Amino acid sequence: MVTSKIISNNLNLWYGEKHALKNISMEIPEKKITALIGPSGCGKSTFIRCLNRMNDLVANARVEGEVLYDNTNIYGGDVDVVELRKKIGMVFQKPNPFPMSIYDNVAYGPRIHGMSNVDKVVETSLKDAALWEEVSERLDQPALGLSGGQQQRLCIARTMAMKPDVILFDEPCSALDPISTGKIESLMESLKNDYTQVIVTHNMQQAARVSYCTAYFLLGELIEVGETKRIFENPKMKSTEDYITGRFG
Amino acid sequence: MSPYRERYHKKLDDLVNLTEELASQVNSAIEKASTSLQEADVELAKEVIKQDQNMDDLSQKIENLCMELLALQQPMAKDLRRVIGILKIGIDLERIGDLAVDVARVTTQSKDKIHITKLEYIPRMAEINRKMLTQTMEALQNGDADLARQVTKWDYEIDGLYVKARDKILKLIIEKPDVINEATALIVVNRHMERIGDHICNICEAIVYMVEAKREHLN
Repeated sequence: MVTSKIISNNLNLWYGEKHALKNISMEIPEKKITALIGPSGCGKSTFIRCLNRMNDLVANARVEGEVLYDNTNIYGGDVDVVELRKKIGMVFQKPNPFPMSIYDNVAYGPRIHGMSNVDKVVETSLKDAALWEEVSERLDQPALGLSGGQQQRLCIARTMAMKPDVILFDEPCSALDPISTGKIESLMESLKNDYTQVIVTHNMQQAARVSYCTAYFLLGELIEVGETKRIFENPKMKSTEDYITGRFG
Repeated sequence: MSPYRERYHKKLDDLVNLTEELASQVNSAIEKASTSLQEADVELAKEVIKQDQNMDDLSQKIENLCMELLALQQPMAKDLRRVIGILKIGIDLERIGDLAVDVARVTTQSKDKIHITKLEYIPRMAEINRKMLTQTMEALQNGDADLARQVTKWDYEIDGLYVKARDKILKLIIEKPDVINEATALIVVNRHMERIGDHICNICEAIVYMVEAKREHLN
């Protein structure tokens, strides 16, 4: 039985006058990977940023509707946004390590939140992110000296150090080569029994490979959502079919 | 649409065109094989046997194009179903071609010795098979799943004709045991004609899958 970790109900978002998300209602299954696909500007990144209120940082963004995380509306008045982003972490398109050592990058969050046994947290997080073997001998080296793929896994380790429930990936492999992409995908696979994951990707083969559920967005609307196998084998909507078969536009 | 995608879509159309070409050759092989047996025409039978290489080559070409599209284009949704469907159809058509060639070989080996009884059922089964195959290709070309379903109904008639033919030959064997070799060959030919109908039904199932993404057992 699949339960929902996050439920979006009639979610709307405006950037000033621009209506960027239109009545999005969908459920994100718990401990599964959900892929969001669609052409540029369709709203998939905007939607994923709504799931941990990253759009709060955009000055003219306005949200209506609700996003239930474990049955609590994250847009409710009494939600601690810092705590929310600790539980729902995010990995971005370009790896963005802090200009500090590998160790300090991972230890940064746990230290700020006063977590104990930071050494252990750093080691576990780097191991879980499949990076430990490559960096354990040089933890004091600058993180910016790592390759792009390693930097991205470091960012995942940094997210995991906060012991999140949900990890949001916003095109995490678009700047990586196929080998590094493969490592990130293997990592997602190894994490799927413990974490709820959502990935925005332009790579449809990646969505088909890694995800359990796929949602197709177009012009700010959710066109279709369902099990990945069905979406890629027999989509219900013509628009979805046109997009995934390359007939769109 | 980019020129790459246009070329990709053209190759998807090529798959259907190649399949129709193979089906047309297979259809002609069934007709010639049946006629050669009926008229003990060894030359016509040899034509069918010679045609086998063409059918195999065409079938290989279809398989290669399917592999190319899967490897280089990663087709999705209806395109994926088309490639998978055609891959299966190509195999069934090639098998029908082999069965027709086997019938032609019986002609070259037995000539008119096989005429131990009137060959009334074989031409009738060949005729129905050819009609089924023609309509099946029409269903493929037009993406008509209902027509594909209708075509499979003819298979009941072929199955009935096969049972009648087999029973008649078995009766003959009991009456004239010395015709056992020819009678056995005749049963094999009848069985081949019946199997051709089954392969056409498989093709119809593939068409229904391609068009409607439903897996149905139609015979």
